[in-house]
Amino acid sequence: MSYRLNVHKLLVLSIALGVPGQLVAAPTVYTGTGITNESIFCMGVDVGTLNMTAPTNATRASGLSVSGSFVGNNNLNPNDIVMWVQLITTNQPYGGQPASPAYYFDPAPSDPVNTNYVTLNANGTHTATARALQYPFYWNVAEANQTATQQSYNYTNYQTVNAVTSNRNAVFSDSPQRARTPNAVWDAELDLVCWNPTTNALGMLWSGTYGFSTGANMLTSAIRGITQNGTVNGANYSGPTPVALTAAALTAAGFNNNAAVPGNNWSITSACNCVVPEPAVIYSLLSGAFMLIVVGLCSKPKGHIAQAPNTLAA
Amino acid sequence: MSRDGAGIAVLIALALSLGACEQRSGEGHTVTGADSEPAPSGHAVLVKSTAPDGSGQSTTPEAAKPQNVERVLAFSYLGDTDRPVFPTLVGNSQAAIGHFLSAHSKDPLIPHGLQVVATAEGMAAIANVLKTAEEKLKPAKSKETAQPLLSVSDWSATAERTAQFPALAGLALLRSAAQCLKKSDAKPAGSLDALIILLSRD
Repeated sequence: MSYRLNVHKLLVLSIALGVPGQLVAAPTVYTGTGITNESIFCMGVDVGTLNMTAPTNATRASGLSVSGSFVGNNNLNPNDIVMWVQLITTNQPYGGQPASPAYYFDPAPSDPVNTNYVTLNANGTHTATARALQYPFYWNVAEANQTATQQSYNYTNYQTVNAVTSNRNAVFSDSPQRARTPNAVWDAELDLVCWNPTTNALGMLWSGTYGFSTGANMLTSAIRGITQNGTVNGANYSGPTPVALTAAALTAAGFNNNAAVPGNNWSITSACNCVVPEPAVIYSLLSGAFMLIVVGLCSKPKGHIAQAPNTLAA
Repeated sequence: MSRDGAGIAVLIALALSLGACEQRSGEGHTVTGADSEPAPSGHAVLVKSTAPDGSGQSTTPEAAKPQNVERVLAFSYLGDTDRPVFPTLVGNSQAAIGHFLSAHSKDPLIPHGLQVVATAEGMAAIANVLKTAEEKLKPAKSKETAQPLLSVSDWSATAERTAQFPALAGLALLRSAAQCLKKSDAKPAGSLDALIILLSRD
């Protein structure tokens, strides 16, 4: 008997026996709103552009898929790293995470540490065996430093001036699913931050939410599109206003006082601190220095110069 | 023994047989990694076949294809998750994986899958394990409606089909496949570990 016949027999039998997943009408496709070419400001300075796809269940029958990217520009301070942070609240958590209304950081301690979830060691190497949520970021630092040639970790969150010129960006992608738990309500707060790895200060660049619900049949029944939290850090400097990402949440999750992380006290500031000094400021400083030099030269004793005519006259 | 009981007993025996990474070359060995697992009691296997040309007509390949035919087995997690769980792509060549990726470029997860190039022997052994798993766990043996947690796509340039397995059956399959990879010295090591952890958790 050929393999092909076996496959078809299995298919027919499964249909005849009513095995789930067969002869089921295609799930309704829901699509929430996304974000298109939104300028992200930091202390009034345009530091880059954010795009997020519209969350949809088109390829995730019991959840959603969403992706996005932040492309920075040369106004970003090269000493900072732009990273994604995500916290989740759901009535159907797994792995011992708290149920809504509580939030927990993504990844959660129950998520496997392996090739997809490698952890950065203190010496800069990374391992696939140790479990250490040392950083509160969605992609860990090792993933964030991926090069495009490392296909298995093809995410490049690491944003530097050089990275900008090579068109790297902070990529986000998620495909949450609740395929085994009916009537799930799953929401995420997604935050874009610039991280100062020396001080562990997180400057808020953008904050928003999205989510989905499932019905009794565990198929997606609603999609909640990208909704921005507060005001983007623009001209009024008010900054985005995350609900879940707080200093208290970082402490509760154990990220503070973690000896494995240099400068292990995290802080969050809505007053974004991710910009390089503006060119006007640099120009002013240089101009001032130049003027001081000129003034210094011009204030030298004139007697030395005045002697020349006398010599000639002699 | 009731009919259901007999079916379960058969499935237990069949599940135990899945523990072997069987080599078609005859140098097969018995792997005990899955043998200690509870047997999959009444699990269903869901199978769908598609043709790359979209015709809906399957040209399902044999499990043991000629070794010079490009082939990729993609192992994907179907259970509850907060994060994108990238599939593990086991191919018989880097070119095969590249062509597979091109055929699935719009998938949200596959383009970021972990890539493993297996030896011809390793590939054949894994395919044999998959074939055995599918043949043994026929839906006719059970009416249980277990949720599938593992999807395995068997891709070649001319055909693709997907089989889905519940937790325990999928776990046994993954562990056997991992042993096959280990035997074939495929790199990176432990490439199926994340999936094994996830299915163990569920």
